[in-house]
Amino acid sequence: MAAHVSGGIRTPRLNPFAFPSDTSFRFALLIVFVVCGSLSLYGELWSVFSSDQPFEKAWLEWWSQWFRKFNIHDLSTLPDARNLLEDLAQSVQPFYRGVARWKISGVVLTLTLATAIYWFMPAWRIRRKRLQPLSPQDQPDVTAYLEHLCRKAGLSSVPTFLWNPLELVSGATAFGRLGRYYVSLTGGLVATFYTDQPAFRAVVLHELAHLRNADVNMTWFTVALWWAFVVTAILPSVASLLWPGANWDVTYAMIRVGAVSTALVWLAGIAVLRIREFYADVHASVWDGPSGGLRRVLAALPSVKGSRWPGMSFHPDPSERRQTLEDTYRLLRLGFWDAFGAGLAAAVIVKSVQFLLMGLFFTPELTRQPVYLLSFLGVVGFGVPLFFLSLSVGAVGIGVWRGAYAALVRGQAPHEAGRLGFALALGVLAGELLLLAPIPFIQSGSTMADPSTTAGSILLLGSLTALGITFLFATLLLMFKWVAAAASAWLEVVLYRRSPSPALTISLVVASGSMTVWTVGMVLLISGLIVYSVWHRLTLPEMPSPVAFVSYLITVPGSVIYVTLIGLWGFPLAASFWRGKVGSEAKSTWAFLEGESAPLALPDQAPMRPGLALIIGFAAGLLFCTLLVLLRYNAYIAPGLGRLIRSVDGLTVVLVLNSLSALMQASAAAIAAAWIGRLGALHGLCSASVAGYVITVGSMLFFADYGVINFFMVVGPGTFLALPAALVVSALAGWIRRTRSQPQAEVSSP
Amino acid sequence: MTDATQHQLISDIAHEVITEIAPGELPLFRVTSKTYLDNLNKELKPRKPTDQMLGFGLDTAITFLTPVVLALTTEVVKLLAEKAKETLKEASAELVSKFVKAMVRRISPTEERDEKTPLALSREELAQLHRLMFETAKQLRLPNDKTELLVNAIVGRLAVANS
Repeated sequence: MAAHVSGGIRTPRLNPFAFPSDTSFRFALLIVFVVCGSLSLYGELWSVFSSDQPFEKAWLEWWSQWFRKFNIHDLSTLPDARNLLEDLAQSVQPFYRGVARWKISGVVLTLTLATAIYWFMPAWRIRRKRLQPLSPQDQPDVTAYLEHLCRKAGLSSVPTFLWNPLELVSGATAFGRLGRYYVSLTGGLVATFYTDQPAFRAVVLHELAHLRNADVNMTWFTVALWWAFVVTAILPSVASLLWPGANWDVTYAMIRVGAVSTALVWLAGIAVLRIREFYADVHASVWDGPSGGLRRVLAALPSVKGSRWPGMSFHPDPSERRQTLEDTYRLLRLGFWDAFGAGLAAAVIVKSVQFLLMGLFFTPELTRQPVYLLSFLGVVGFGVPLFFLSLSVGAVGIGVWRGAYAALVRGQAPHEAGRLGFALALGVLAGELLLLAPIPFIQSGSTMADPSTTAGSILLLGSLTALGITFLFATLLLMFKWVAAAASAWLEVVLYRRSPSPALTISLVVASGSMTVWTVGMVLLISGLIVYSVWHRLTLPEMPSPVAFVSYLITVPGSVIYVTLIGLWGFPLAASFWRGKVGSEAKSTWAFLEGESAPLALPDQAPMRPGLALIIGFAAGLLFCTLLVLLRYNAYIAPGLGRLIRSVDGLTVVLVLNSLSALMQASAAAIAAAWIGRLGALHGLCSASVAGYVITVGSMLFFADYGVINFFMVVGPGTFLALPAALVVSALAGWIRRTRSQPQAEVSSP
Repeated sequence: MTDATQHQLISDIAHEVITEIAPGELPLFRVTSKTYLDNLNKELKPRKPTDQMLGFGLDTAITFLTPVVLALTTEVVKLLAEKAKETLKEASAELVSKFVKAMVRRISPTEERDEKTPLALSREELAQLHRLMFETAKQLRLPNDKTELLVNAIVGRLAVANS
């Protein structure tokens, strides 16, 4: 049991307990789905029982009025934003507030009942199952052996062992609540103590592993959440359909929301219950040893594949469990549907939180205070989505990091990152589509007199949506590729540390933070471009010059993005400074389950070359400074050039210099990305940044009198060019290297 | 026939059967039979697969025979007690008990017997008992091979009339 075979070589089993487990991840998803499902269903219940006009109608009315006043071809017809929002607050606030109260009450009710069920379930179970303490007086040999197994499992406190002597089958269950845990044994299992002790030991160790893995509370809270959700959300919703006030629209909405919520809560719960079994098996197998009875016991279990709904089984198939015992790599890879679920959860919780915030705080009074209003809209519109998307990136990022690490230790290239990025983005998209209730924006369009206005609005909305979706997919794909790259860079260092947690945590913080800042930068850029493109249609006092405006647009978001890029290249490349301190005979204390003592034979990876990247960046910067000197002292070197420079204004000179410097930074990025085989894009960004620093110093030395030249004006535009240059050139160079190495491998292979 | 006598009889017969077919379970017999007899009015329930959703796995195979043997023995003793009551309508509880013990060959040859009372089951009664035990075993989801083993072991202890 101590190893799996990979490429004909037996390698030790990877330790999945060194990382956060999927059980916690799935439990978090379940909580989100229960809370959001409850919120949604109570929102629909409000629609059934409320005597007011439906919430959507209020929205539709407001949109219709708004569109009657506004012609998209004449932006001067755009009502004053504050009046618009005040009207909106007055129209929809009563409904928002009413629904919000119902929703909050529903969630409180669901969670309160779940907590009560969780708390009292152990007592109820003991009574219903007729469990009695397994006393040392009756079975001294059994109780002594159980104490021995608890010590073996390293439990800090021994659970209470109960049993039912009249239960015929062989089984055991760990249960309890916070601080009070039990393990119940059937009479059948206790009988196996005398007839088949290895089997008894394997089953008990499996249950003790649940306690050691701290999944007992999650498990029983999952069951409690299921019941509470059914009682407080599903049953009232079904009953409400019989209410005379429930028209077809309400019924349809209730069925749609109810079906989706129930499915999500059920699937997430099953996912929690199934994954924990793998972890318990693996932990038990370590204590049980290679000659233990666990595999034999698992082999004797009936397959769930033959059952009517194998996908709905609370347990994974025994064959899957045995495979995972042999090869724990499966527990280090995050599944596609886990990442998809994280995206879905992020989408639904964002909508729920936004709704509640609007319901509680979007009042007419707020719209009269511009600063508070803007802050509030910023939080609701951007803060909330970014916060939850960052959390989901962090959660899925753990899986990406783990998977990349595990693949590398097995001598394989990490290839899960893109797939998981795609799954997360797809989940977000699916969540948005699921929540796409009647769109007031589009519906109200049908009431407008001018069809072209509707078409224009839909086109604008569609274009922005397509842009947003593309941005989401590309960002998540790249971000997870980066997480895998960070894992690869730090692999040789973290293996010989006490734990991978610091590197993992920093990777995730950098990834989530970068994604947030990157999104803010891109939103600034795109919204700026949109505002500028419609500026002439608005009744604004003065339009800035195109050059100044575009320069500003590129500089501000570019600078914001630049800050994130420092973390993105700095953290992975920093690993090379620690790597040198690790001796070749170092041993990992945490990487393998069986405590591998021999030095590791890690796969050969091309070296990282941050020094070379620094040199390339420095050289590019110096080259540009030379150009600056030539330009500055042109009268002596090239009189014609001097006349040309003097003939244009200072701003143009600065803009031209900035454009050239951006080109130089992009060139530095491209050279490093092409030259350095491993993590070429990150080395390229490093080179571009260094070039940017040198160019900034040169510009300030030689061209300070031409206007405001600062660090961000240089690196902002440079970032916009360097980032795509580094990515494209690195991908191209990688492809060329692979293409070249293939024929050689074919020649060398017999 | 008092409850205590009946319980003792059930326990004794079951112990003999377990000693014969599952001696490995003997260390648990005392506690199991006590728990069983203390809850005699409560039905022994078969394990449903859903009950195991949070346990080790979907293990539905019965591995513990003692409770089943106790349940089957209870059916036998109850039936015999009813037969004895019918036969000896006016008899004392002690006599009924004696009668039942005789039917399950629990009276030693040296003990005094009432020659007028029939001490053996007829073939029809035996068939009825067979059916009853098979039904009980089926309710408990005991596999057929194990059912036959248990039924034969219990029936083998009964006195059967020759005719």
